[in-house]
Order: sequence, then structure tokens, then C-alpha cells
Amino acid sequence: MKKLIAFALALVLALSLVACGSTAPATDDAANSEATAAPDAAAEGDAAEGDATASDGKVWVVATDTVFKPFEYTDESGNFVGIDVDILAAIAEDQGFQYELKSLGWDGAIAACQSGQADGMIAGASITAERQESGWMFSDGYYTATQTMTVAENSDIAGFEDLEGKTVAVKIGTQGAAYAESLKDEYGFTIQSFEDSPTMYQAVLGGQCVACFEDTPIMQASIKDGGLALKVLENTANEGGDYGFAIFSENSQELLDMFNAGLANIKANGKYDEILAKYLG
Amino acid sequence: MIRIITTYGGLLLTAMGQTLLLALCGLFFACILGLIFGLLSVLKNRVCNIVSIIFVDAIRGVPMIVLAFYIYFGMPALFNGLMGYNAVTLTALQAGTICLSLNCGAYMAEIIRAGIQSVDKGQMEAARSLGLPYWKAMYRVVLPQAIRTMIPSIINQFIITLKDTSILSVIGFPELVNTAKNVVANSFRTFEVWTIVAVMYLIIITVLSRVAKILERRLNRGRE
Amino acid sequence: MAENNVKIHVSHLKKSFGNLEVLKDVSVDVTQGEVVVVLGPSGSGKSTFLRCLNRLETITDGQVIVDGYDITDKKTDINKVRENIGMVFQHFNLFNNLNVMGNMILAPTELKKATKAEATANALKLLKRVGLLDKAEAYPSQLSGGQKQRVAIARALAMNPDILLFDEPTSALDPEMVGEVLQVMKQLASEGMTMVVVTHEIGFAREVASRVIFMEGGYIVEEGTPEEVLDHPKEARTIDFLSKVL
Repeated sequence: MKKLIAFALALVLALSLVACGSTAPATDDAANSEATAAPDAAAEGDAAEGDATASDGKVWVVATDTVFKPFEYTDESGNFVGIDVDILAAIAEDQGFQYELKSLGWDGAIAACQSGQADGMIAGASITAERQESGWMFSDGYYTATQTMTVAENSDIAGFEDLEGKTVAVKIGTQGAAYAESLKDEYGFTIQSFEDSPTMYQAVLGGQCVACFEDTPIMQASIKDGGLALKVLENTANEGGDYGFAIFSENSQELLDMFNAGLANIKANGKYDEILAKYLG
Repeated sequence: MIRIITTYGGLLLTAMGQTLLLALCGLFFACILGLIFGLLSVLKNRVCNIVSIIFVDAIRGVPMIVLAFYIYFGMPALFNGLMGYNAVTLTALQAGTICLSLNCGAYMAEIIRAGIQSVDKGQMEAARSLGLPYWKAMYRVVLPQAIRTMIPSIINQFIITLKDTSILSVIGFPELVNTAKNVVANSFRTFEVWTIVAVMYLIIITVLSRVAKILERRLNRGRE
Repeated sequence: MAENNVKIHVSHLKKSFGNLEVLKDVSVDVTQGEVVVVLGPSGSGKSTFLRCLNRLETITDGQVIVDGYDITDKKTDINKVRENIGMVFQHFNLFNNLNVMGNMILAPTELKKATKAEATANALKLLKRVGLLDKAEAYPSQLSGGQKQRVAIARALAMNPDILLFDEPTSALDPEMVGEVLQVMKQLASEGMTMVVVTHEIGFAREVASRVIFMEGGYIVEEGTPEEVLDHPKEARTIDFLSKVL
């Protein structure tokens, strides 16, 4: 009898865990809509009046990655800088909204947006159909990037054909990882997933992996800045895609709209080109 | 939830297998290292004691994530610097096993030292007075008694080590946490995936604890 | 060795623990079949002296020759010598992980002195002798203090030693159990076993000892027959000690 009760209790516990797991996002959304109800109303009013959003005092929380050079990283003087950081700052200035940038790491940024702890994310996120299907809402593209394969400088690997039986490095959840995943069966290599770019590069430098897959501008900037003994195999590039600012909830639609409007403005006034030139030379 | 399980269940189960494989490899060598350094610390020999103290303090003083990077990237770099490019490379499993066994081995050495020291000195003296050599006395009389008192701490250490395998996600070993991150990246279902992972760990560790308890009871039979 | 029947020869034995000199200069011979009882106040060095005889304590200086082996010589295989010197401890020190039979046969079988069957048969004989035949399967924790000490003596005898050392064998026993242990020791003495006994049992010394040694401050102060030392002590320190314990 005792055993039966214990079993029943365990079952209830397990079920409630499962229930929590699947309903958590929903309840978070509900909480979110309450919290943002007032600003939404204000936004509607603002739209009628024109461009005076700053007056409602809302501070938007934007999540980003920790290191994704040159889109976001910490420079020698300890400042958090990068293309994403500067673009967001320029757009906020143009649109007159306040924001707080939180550097949470890639996974952390996604989790924060899903749980409503952040309103949007800018982290060099490629705009993909899969992401859109699973709830991401993207802004207009703010940068076009391809993914390429990179190998050690003195490596004799020249293309995908040389990867048979080898191990390549990818960074979890990136377009580079998806690109490698799409090729691995055809070319017969295995994939090892790392949590950040520097570790992934190190695996190629140290010979633990023969190649890595990364967004081309990131790779080039890292090789240049870090003096890494790596080379990008230009012939391995895919078609590429756009990076977009992303939100996960309708409640942040206002932020997305401001981002799109601001992006168009800074592209028109030359600020955008200035930022790219600053980081990509 | 159900969709996550049907889509990624196989992947996560494989990863759980990898976690167990890594934990078992790590624990196996940790036991050997722990025994060696534990015994070195109780020998009546200053040099042996100091060697053991240095090992235990050095390993305990470095977080395992640092150790993981150091062993996976640093050690081959060191050897390659001496012997030329790619002379030595470790697979993530090899590096992970070394890392876990060093880390867990240091704690095991302390557990074993404490266990041996908890056995009354008279046990060793009585065995020696009968003419048994040191190692025979240690093996037949002292260690069997020490192990009984060590078992709860050892089980605890095993569980900690099993959970510590997740740290080796950083060197790309496809264990449960590393794989879960990939699944999260593909599915974007953060909460569901981590719930599944938590339940998987919970099951492994609960089963391990139960088995250990049974083993403990077996070993203690005849003591009272 | 001048005489063949000298079992233990100790000359100018010194033992220090760090700066503390516990044995300052001890010389004594024990001949075959002798029962030597060592008396003395605590801290007099008598236990340390006994433990030097089978090198449970490392010897700082001097010479100890047991059964013709110089145990102060590093080249001597001490394990070989110890096989012939049994020791009985104050706290019994039975192996807690083994039952009585396991305790009895461990050393003989491990050291290839006997097959398991021979060792078991011998152990049963010895257990019968100390009156504990029915306890062969018991674990130490199931025995009384007196029973434990009798098993400990039987365990020492299982190696068939020439010499037995007793380190305060009755000090940790409840008073009602002292008798049964002393009885076994008396029997051994009467059978001609060479024994060195550190004890506070003056009665045992008077009845069984062939020689009594009184130690204090790391020296042998007085030695002689029980009548000489116990009944007609010459040294003031012996008189003082005896007046306190008698």
C-alpha cells in the first residue's frame, strides 16, 4: 500500500514537472501582456501624435551574445562594443527610445526573450524559415552574411571532399552549425559542438578538429584581429542570409517597428556605413 | 513536449549514453588515482606525503572548467610545441576522462586518506606483529575496514562526478548538456528540453544511489 | 651469542620521539622459557620497550637481537622475525572485518605457513585451548572483552611463535574478565613459553614471573626474582611505586 502511494506521488510529481515544462512559456506570455499593456496603449496614442515615443519612459531590454566578434565583444578598454551594439545605439538615438543591453550569451539571450525577461535580441541572428516557424519575429535584415569553412593555415584540406572521416568544429545553434549539419552526411565527417567562437577556433588551431564553420565576416575579423593561423576557404561559402533583430512576442512589436524605421533612417543618412567601416575596415 | 521527445529523444538518449560512458571512464581512473594518492598520503614517507598533498591541492585549487580547457587545448599544444604540429591530439572523450579522473581522483584521495586514518592504528600494528608485510596488512585488514566508512562519501563523490560531466560540454564532448544545447538551438524549446534533461539526470542519479545503497548494505553485512 | 638459550638480547637500547627521550639506556637478556614481567608507572617507557622488541617502534640507538636476528640491522627481514614473536595488545586489536576464524588463519595462510585446511584445524585446536571453540564464526563485535583477548592470544599462537609479548593485556578489561585472560597466560607460562609481559597485575607477577623488571624514567631501576623486587625492594623509587599499587 505504502509503495502504491509513493508511486502515485512520484507520478503526480513527474506529470506536474512535464506540465510546468510545457505551460511555462504560455504563463510567461500572459504575465508579459499584463506588464506591457500600458506602454502598448501609449504607443497607439503616440502613433497618432507622431514621433514622441521617448515620453512614455519605457526602457526596452535587449539581449545579446557575449562574444560574437565583430558584432558584439568587449574591447581592450573593457567596453562592450560591436556592430550590433553600435547599430542598436544609433537606431535608439534616431527613434528616441531607451534600452538596456544585456549580454547573456546566445542561449541565454534566446531563453530570456522566450521567458519575457528581455523584449528583443540583437546577436547576429540569421533570418531563417525554421526560426520564424518556431516563433521568432525578425526585423528587416541589417547585414548579409555567408557561412564558410575555415581551416588551419598549413592545412592541406582544400574543400569538403577532404573531410571524409574527420571532425569539424561548430558553434552550437549557429548558421555555421546548420551549414555543417547539411553537409556532414554527404561528405562523411563528424561534428563537435562548442559553446563559443574562441573555443571553436582553438579546436582548429590545436588540431582537435580539422575545420570550423563560421559566418564569413566574423571569421575574417577574428583572423585579422587575433592574428590566428587560420584561413577561410572562400570556395566553401553558401548562399548566405540576412542578420535580423528578433522579438518573440507580439508585445514587442513596437520595438520591432522602431528598429525597422530607425534602420532605414541610418542607412539613408550614412550612419550605417560608418559603423560597418569602423569594424570591418 | 511530446514532439520534442519524439523528435529528439533518440539524440538525447545517445547523449545520456555518452554522459554515462564519460562518467564511468572518469570514475574508473579516479578510483585508481584516488587509491594511489590516498595511500601515498598515509605512508610513513615524507616525500610520498608531499607528492600526494601537491596533487590534491593543485587539482582541488583549479576549477574543473579551467582544467578541461587546459587538458584539451593546453596539453596537446605543449607537446606539439616540443614535437611539431599535431604530434599529439586528444579526443574530447580522452581529455574528458583525464579531466574527470584527475578532479574526482583528488577528492577520492582525500576520502581514502580519511577512511584509512579512521581505522584504528592497532589494526595495522596487530597485522604487522604477526609478520604480515605492510601492503598485505593494508590490503587484507585496513582497506576492507576503511572502505566501509568511505562508502557514503564515495557514492556522494560519484554523483558529483556524474553531474560534473556536464562541464565537459565546453570542450565539445557530446554529453547530455552539450547535446541539449544543440537541441535547444534547433528547436528553441528551452524549457521543455531542459526539463527532459533534468528528468534524465534525476533518473540516472536516483538509480545509481539505489544501487549504491544496496551495495553498501551488502558490504556491511556481518559487521554488527 | 654467548649462550644458545638467550631468546632476546637487548643492549644499550635508546628510543626518542623527536626531542623526547623515552628509553635512555636499557640492557636486558631474556632466556628461553623465562617469564619476564615489566612493571613501572605510566610514562616509564615500559610499553615502548616492549614495542621495540618486535620493532613496532623504530630503534634510535643500541642493539636488539631476537632469536639470533639483529633487528636493529636494516638488512634483517623484520617480517620473518615477527613470525616468531607474537604480540598481544591492550586493546586486543582483533581484525574487525574478519570473524574469529578469519583472524586466526589470516597470517598463517597469507605467509604460506599452512594450507587453509591445516590453519583451520590448528585454529580450532587453539580456540579449544582458550575455551572459545563455539565462537569460531563470531565477529569481534559480538565478543566480550575477555573473549576478545583470549582470541587475540590464540591468534598470536596460531603462528607458532617462540616468544610472546603482552602489552598490558588486562588493562582494558572489566575486572570480572581479568581472571580468564590471566588463566590462559598462566597456562602458557607453565608450558614453557618465553614471555615478556607489561602489566599492572602484581599478583600475576608474584605467581608466574621468573623475573620482575621495574622501569622508571627510561631506565631499568631494579630487577630480580618476584620476592626480591616485590617483597624486598632496594630502590626508593621501587618502594614508592609498590606502596601506591599494593
